[in-house]
Amino acid sequence: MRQVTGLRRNGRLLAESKAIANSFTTAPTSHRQTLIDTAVRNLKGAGIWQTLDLLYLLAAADSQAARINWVNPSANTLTEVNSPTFNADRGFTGDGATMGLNTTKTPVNAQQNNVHLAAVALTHGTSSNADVSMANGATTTRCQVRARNLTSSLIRVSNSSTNVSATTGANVPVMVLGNRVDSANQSIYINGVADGTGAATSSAISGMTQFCVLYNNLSTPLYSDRQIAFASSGGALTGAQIAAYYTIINAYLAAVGAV
Amino acid sequence: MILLTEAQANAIRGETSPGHRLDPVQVVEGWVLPETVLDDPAHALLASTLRAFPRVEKVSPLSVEVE
Repeated sequence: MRQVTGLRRNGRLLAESKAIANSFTTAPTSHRQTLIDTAVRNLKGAGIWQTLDLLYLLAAADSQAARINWVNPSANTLTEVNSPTFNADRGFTGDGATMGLNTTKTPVNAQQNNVHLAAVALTHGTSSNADVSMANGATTTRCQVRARNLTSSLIRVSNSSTNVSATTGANVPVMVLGNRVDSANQSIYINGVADGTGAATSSAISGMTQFCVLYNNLSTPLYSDRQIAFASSGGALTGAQIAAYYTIINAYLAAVGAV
Repeated sequence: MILLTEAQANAIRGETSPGHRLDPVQVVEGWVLPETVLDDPAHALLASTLRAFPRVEKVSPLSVEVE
């Protein structure tokens, strides 16, 4: 995939990039606007953008910009629940007990046998709970990513009870992505590289309308204590797309100083 | 932690400003909020109410963390 860098030809921004910038209460700097446009162009070029339902670059200049859904800036802005800690150009940190962010979204591109969920953690924390999840606000979680705790990363996509842990893993900062392309297996990717696959028969996710960062919105919620810089959900990605996704997101996070 | 009764939790639960909400978490001792909400301008309208509630050092979660 060709990476687009620097100013756009003719200095024009994509309509999607303009929409993101226009949704920020405090307008982004021209440098940040270029970074946003570069990321969006590369995501579209890799065929990733078209698969996304939700995309949050939480490592933003301010908390309002951090909560914007890049895929559709007028919908699914995250709500801060119980004041998670925001650090500019890093993201949100939970306390492992009460804090998080959420939105209500019926999965569209994400389907039972065609789904991904991803997060970037900047700190290890100690919590064993998920950093990003899709639940129903009651008793069921069918998609979750624990980017990293003191020992390992794990994912669950489209099933109610079986997780897959990373075989090798990596220390923070780390991008962890759970992916499912069929009814039989789910796979975990660490920094864009496949790092484990496990058998788990899929279950429907159409009712998993609670997309949460830093917690899992169950009848008794479970909370994370990590710092999360990025989160996304959508349809399944190919191995090449996942590698490209990591490259694009990591380049953005590096440019703003998050990693 | 700020400690609330169930009735108090129900009374303050909800959006406090656009993009911000309070959602007390149930624990063995009752319901809690982090003390950081006291200094969050997003919850300023409820600040005096929140400051009137008792605070506790430690609480017991309802469930064990699971993977």
